Amino acid sequence: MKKIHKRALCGLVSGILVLGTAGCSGESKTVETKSQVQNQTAQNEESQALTQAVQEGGKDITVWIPSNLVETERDYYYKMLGEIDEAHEEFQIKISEQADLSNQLLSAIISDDLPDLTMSDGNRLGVFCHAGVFLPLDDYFSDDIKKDLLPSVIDECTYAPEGKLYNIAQFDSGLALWANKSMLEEVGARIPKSYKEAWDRAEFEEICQKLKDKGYWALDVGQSDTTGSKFYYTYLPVVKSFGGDWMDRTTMEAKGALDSDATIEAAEYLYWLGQQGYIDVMADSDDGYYGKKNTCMLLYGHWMAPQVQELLGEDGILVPIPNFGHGVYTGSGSQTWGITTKAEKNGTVEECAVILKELLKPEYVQGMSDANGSIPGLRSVLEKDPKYAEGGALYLFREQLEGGIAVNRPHTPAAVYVRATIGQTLRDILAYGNAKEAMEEITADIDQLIEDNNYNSKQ
Amino acid sequence: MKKKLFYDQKTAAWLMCAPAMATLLIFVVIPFFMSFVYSFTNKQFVMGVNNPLRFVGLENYKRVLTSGDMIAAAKNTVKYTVYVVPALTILPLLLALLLNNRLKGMTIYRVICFSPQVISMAVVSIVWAFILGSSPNSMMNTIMGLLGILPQGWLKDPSQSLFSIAVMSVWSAIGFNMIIYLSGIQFISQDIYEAAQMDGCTPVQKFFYITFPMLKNTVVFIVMTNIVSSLKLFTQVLVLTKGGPMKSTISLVYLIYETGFVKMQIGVSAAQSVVFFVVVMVVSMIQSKVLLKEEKA
Amino acid sequence: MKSKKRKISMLLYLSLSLIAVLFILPPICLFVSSFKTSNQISVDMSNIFAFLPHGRMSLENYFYLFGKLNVGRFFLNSLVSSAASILLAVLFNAMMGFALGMLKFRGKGFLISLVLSLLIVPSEAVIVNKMIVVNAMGLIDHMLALILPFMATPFYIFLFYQHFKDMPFDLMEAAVMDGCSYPQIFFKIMLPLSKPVIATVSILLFIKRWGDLAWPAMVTRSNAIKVLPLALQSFYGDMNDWGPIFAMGTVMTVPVMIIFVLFQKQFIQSIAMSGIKG
Repeated sequence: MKKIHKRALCGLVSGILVLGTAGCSGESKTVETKSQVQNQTAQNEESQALTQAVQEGGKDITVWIPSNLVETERDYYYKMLGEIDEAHEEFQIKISEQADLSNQLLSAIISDDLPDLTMSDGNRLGVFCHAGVFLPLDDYFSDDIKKDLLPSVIDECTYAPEGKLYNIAQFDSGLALWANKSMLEEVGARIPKSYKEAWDRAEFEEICQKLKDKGYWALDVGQSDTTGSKFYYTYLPVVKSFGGDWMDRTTMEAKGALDSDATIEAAEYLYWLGQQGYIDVMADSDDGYYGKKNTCMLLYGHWMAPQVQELLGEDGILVPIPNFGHGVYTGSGSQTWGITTKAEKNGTVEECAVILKELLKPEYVQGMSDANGSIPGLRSVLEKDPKYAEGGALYLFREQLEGGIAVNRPHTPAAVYVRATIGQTLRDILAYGNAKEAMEEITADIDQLIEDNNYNSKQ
Repeated sequence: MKKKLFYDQKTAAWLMCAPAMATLLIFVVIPFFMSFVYSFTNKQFVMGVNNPLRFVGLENYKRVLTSGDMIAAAKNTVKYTVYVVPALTILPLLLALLLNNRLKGMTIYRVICFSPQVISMAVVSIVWAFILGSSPNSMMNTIMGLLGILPQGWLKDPSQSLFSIAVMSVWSAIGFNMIIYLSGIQFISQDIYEAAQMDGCTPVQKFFYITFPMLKNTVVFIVMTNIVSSLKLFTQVLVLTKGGPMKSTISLVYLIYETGFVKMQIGVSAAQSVVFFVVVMVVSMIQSKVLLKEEKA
Repeated sequence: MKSKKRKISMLLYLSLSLIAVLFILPPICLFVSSFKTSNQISVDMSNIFAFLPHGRMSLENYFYLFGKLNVGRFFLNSLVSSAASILLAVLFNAMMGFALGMLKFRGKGFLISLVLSLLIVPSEAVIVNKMIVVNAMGLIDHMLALILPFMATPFYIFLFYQHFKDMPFDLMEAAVMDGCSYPQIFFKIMLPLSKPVIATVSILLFIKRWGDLAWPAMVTRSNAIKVLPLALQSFYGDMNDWGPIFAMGTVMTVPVMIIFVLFQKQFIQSIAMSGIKG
């Protein structure tokens, strides 16, 4: 009999354990998540106290941010949102970090637990608008603000098929060729001072050849990633410069753009660059430019700035993407903010709009840019930002966005598939060529998906 | 009253089965049934505002059975199974034979050979991806270099990618299969061996005339379980290749995942999973008939 | 004769050692590299130093993981969800295995066939639907979502069933005559006799739950519930920073390794047992 009691006790203990863990749900309060961050800066503690303090009265606003943030970035988000929270007694902000924000927003639609306010990925706008995640924002932002926002930001946040603003953003991304000044000087290359002076195709190829002769790899396009995940973003300006595009922006289909001669030529060009020995197709890592220093140029975005400045110093410069015949372009698109349809149900739309307007205050736009190295989305802020001052190492990012030569990725609801498949296909073409067949095949696949899922039918 | 409940075999049995049955019902049967139902609809991950859920009959199945992707996935999965199963049938046997002796320290070797099993596949994939890097400096290419072989693309080369993944799986599972063989071997009575020894049999003869025949059951078990688990290839593809390069590593289960999560087409994905289930069931039944028939004889 | 035997032993040890090296080197590389900087790892990968301490070794990667990236929390989540799963799974699967294997009742045959047929359903195929079910129960991003679905598995029920089927019936008959109820028989007598199977199921389940990536990716949302494999995957996807990646891999592997080494005798024995029976 005693053994039974022992067993019962074990069962009870296990039961308590289970119930205890059952109590652990994911609704993270700001305090709980933060308590794990051991390297707490003074700012951290301050915003922790702030959000903890404002617990009385007012509506609860759940805010989602991604969790894969750099430390300075994360600290700033908490600081910024904490200050906004404190300044407004009528609501409390509850921040919840998401490990895989884009997918979790989608899952949240199914489980009907969307937050009130959330960050998002600019190039997923089509996906979320089609799924009815966001509320239109036109009414909340005056024309003045809209004029102050960079054209690329407006473009990124406007759902093209409807022409309505669904997101806003504090910043935009920057894309150009990171280059090694010493190597370029060694081969006697002309270094453009502005995107208007970009190399043309012939000049670019000549420089690549000279670099190869000197024993360097000319270019790294992030080819060490076999899934080609960056190409959808980084290679679009090149495609545009060849005269192509990922999708036809009026019909929102891939046909006519992805399978156009221009786009195929641009895709084949990757293969050619590999065959010529300008790109190290077999590279295992992308540190040829900044780590091993055997590569002259790197087609990556602004996020490289801190590493480049640290590892290359004065030698790390920006060069515009060459003009392959149809102009000079750069990429655009980064993280955005939006109010969800759940906020409508919760009756918190006005409060969320207030938060968004606060986010666009110059001090926060500047602070955010300083925290994560992005390009401020407001002209008035960008003009004064010392990081992007004329003559500085990063001026090109500013010049490009102000000049309006940025292209956004198409706002298609099929974005997840389009991104994955274009990326993978370009990577395959880089190694194995066969561009025409490959591009035509994925054009058919994408359009088939759009048709199947009824993405383009009007309401 | 209560006492009677627990003394009655029938009630006790049902009560004791209840928690497990409930779990299975909710988390296995119902989702599977849902798959079946969804496979006849146009369900997407998130239905668009202008795209209501509707019945589409056998359209998904038609699509699935004729799609190039499905055929590629089937080919790859079969190819992978052909790489893995023979390796995991023969190599562990050889290893077990080596370990089947009374020398000191065999336990340590056993533990070492088994240890890869306890490392989760995600970690195994990453470490092996590092080893099988495509640059001339990678560990494996350096070894190849010492043997006078040119650097290979491994995971980046469509003709070698599936093989590379197979290597990881074999490395991981050899120990497990070896243990099963070992116990099967040690189960064989020593008397038979002694008798053979007295008759003057060589070790090789001992193996082919005694060991191998008596291990038939074990071999059958190993082949069957390895075939079924090979058909389920997923983790390495998700972590490392996502089906590439050039669709050379897309497996059946990965295709199901990709169709559901990347293409957002739950209906089609469900049809694929039903087809997959049928395939696995057919394979299992064929296995049972072919391989177990010999046992009965 | 003796020298020939010795020669054979030497050969055996040699070949076994070479093979053992193949098995042990990758984990060693993982472990040793976790203390190196990413650049050092890149440099070392083409020579013997991949397996040896080289250059500046430090706990830098670990500080990064546990400090800035909050890995301690993920570790705890993994631990809690795995441990709770094991406790419940052993209990429920064993109960059903016992009922199927030792008790006589109508419907037994049906249940056994049901379990056998469910063995085939691959979990990956129904994962999205499972998520929908879990969501309907309101458990998304809740620890229970990582525990409840695993309280019973056809394979483990089958293992317990095989085991109990072979248990001597007399034992149970004697207990019945002593006036024990069936649950009592189960807890008092049968379960204690089932240590090997319990060990097998526990460890197999632990390994599976600990390393599971797909399911947590579906049902967890926030960092409060995130588990280790998810964290590993996001590192590996986002960056090619080998230092933290290897440190993460080590964090995921070391606990399981330790448990395995401590219990290896029982564990390997019970795997072997189930192999014969299967």
